[in-house]
Amino acid sequence: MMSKRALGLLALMALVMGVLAISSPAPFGATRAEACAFLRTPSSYEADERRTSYALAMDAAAMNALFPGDDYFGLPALKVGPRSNRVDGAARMPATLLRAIGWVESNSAMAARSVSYESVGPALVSFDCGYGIMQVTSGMTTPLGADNQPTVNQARVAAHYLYNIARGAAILAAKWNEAPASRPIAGTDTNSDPSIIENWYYAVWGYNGFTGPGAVQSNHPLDPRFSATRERWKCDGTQSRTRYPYQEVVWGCMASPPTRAGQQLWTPIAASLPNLSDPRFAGPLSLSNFAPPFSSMDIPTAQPSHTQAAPTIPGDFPSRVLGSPVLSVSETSIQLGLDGSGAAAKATVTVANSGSGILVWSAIPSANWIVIDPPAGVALGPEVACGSGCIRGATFTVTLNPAALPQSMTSGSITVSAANGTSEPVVVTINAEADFELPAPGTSRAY
Amino acid sequence: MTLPRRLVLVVPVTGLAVAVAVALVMLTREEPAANGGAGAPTSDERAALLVAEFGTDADRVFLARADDPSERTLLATISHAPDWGINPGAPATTDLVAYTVLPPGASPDRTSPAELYVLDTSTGETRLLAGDADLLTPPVMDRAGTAVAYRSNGDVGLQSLVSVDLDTGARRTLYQVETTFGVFPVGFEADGRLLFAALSRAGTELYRATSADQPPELVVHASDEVARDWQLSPDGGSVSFLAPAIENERVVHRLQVVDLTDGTPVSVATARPPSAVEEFTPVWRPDGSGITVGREAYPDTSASAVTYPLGTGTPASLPAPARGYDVPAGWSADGDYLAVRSFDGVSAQDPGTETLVVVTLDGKRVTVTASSELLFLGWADGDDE
Repeated sequence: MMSKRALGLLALMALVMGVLAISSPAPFGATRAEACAFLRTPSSYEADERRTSYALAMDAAAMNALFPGDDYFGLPALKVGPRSNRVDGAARMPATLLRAIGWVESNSAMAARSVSYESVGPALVSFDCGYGIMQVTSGMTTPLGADNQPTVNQARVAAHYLYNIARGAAILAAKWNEAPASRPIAGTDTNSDPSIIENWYYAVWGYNGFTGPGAVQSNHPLDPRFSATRERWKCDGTQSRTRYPYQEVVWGCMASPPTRAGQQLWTPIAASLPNLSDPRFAGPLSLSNFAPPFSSMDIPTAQPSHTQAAPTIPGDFPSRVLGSPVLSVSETSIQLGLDGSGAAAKATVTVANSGSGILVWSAIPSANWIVIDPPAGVALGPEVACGSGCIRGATFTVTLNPAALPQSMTSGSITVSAANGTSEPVVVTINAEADFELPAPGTSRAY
Repeated sequence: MTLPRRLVLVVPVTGLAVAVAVALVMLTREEPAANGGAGAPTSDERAALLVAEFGTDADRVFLARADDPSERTLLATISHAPDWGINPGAPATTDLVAYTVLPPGASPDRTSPAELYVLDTSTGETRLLAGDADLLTPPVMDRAGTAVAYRSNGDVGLQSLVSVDLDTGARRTLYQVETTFGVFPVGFEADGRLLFAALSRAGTELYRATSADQPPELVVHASDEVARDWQLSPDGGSVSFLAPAIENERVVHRLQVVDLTDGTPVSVATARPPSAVEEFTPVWRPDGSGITVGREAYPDTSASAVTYPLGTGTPASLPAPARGYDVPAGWSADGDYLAVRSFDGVSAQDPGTETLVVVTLDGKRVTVTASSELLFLGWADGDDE
């Protein structure tokens, strides 16, 4: 027979679920980001409106100057040469590609639209778990850490623009390196040199989905759903994305950079698209060739081709921007309770950065009855620009999930960790007390 | 960057149930005011060009006078996901225009399920028909305006062609396939069967489908490559399309017309374009007497659209732009006006700037001005042009 306490828990759980169901309408296609690396949306830092910080970071990422040698955030050596003799080349890519992709993916925004520039707020998360500026989805769709918790790298990608941009660049580089094993090569007549922007045609296509003409995610330029003749993408908000393959949108933005505060966000580069009237391009793009490993889709470099002068990255750029974050946490012990227990139902913990740079923190509970919101975020050092209304320190709330409480009095902990810097984790003890009072006749206190 | 949807299918069953329930509710309710009409146009305004002007969060549908498009009436405002405008079906032959759209709450991504609507151009009202449409695939409507066919996407490349009865709202799946390419509705035959094009590594084929229980019937193998820009003849007996060919080391598209009864070619009096000159988007004359195609300007600096008579006769050139080329969009019902997408470049590789222009048989060209992208939706019925 079910105990009164168990009945109380069940009733409360039903009530909570009912309230959640009522308060969470789910219209067609409503944005859902819950089923991603984080159960709740982390917070992140949105930098300046001119995207100067992001531009510098993209320049550095393109030159592999942010996290060289890092398997996850560094650029790999980019493959060079013909299909029959592909060899490792330099780990660098045209920076304008990253800037245009960042704009296309997110309008170069790290945080949600509601967040002011030079401020902290909810991270930008798409329905398919794309995070931040580069809308990184790879490795961000589920928690990958122990006990189904997010990893340090997932926190970094979600919260800190340097890591997000570096990861986006690494993924783009991986798309490039998928050739020749599983992707075609662009630039058969130019040694597939990655310094030539036009040679990134297939890699950029793959960044959004390398699918066939007619498929749901098709970016195939000959897809009959795209008009056979179409204006170039202007990147000015006057055209619908509905009618363009992804890579043409990126190409268009490279040629027509958006303007903020009176300045173009990058120097225009009118990169060439494959000439679809030229059999050297149309032939490889033939339907019959669209089959793994796509080796018959190799194309020459679209002409006229373009390169970009390598940006100069100061040697101290990464260390200067990353800083030396130091984690500090306001609480080490919290008492929580449900209705009638006498203890507060919610507690707030403050996370501060007593060092410099942008501290990425994450808070991992020891049990699922401890609810943390947000589960990760940033705390700003004193030198980081923090505009009107911006708060350098971060807070997260702790509440109880009554449906998951193992018993009426229990304890657990939250481990607050720094995802960057050298700080040791801080453990916050949680003592919980539950008291259930239900109005239905025949029930009373559950303990 | 996005992943295939199947990799992110972690939505709980309960969430799915809620979504289905909400979908059912939405399918049975009227469209909210935000997407509603701006009032029924007057009878004078109905003899007009129907266009949609793109906006970042909402497209505006106008009726504009053919001879003076600056005189226009707002018919409807259609909200959509940021940056993703509506995708209309073939130009209207009735008061109804079908379109797909990502609703405002949807994730702005082409993999998101789109909504399928019909817009009644006589009232400006919209009606939601489905919430599982492929955004990029234009829906098609039968000539009587009684049914709409659209494409729906499932998991792992599953595509369905679905017909919706506009009287009852009943849905019927007419064809279903798992493919890495695509299927697209082309039009309804008089007996209600759906014509659709299918891409595969073998090229493009045209089929007719009756129901998902029966295998589709092959009408014609249209091309070993991508055939495109399908349009049924006004009498429904033939279909036109473009298929690529190589001429003088250039890939160009050429007009094809096929008899739907037996898949044989229909004779068209084409004075073939200069070799290696691209043709664009064939549209039928409203009386079915001929087909108008665009031609790229290359290697010249301007080129007119041309109407090829069926059978024998002399091709007729339309007024050419001062610079650039025209891509036909649709003839008015009386055959007096042709809407074209006019480009001031010389070719698809160098298209220049696009404008929507109304071309008249007596040589006039009237530009429809707008500050953003314009889509031709059709010609509203009327008799005062």
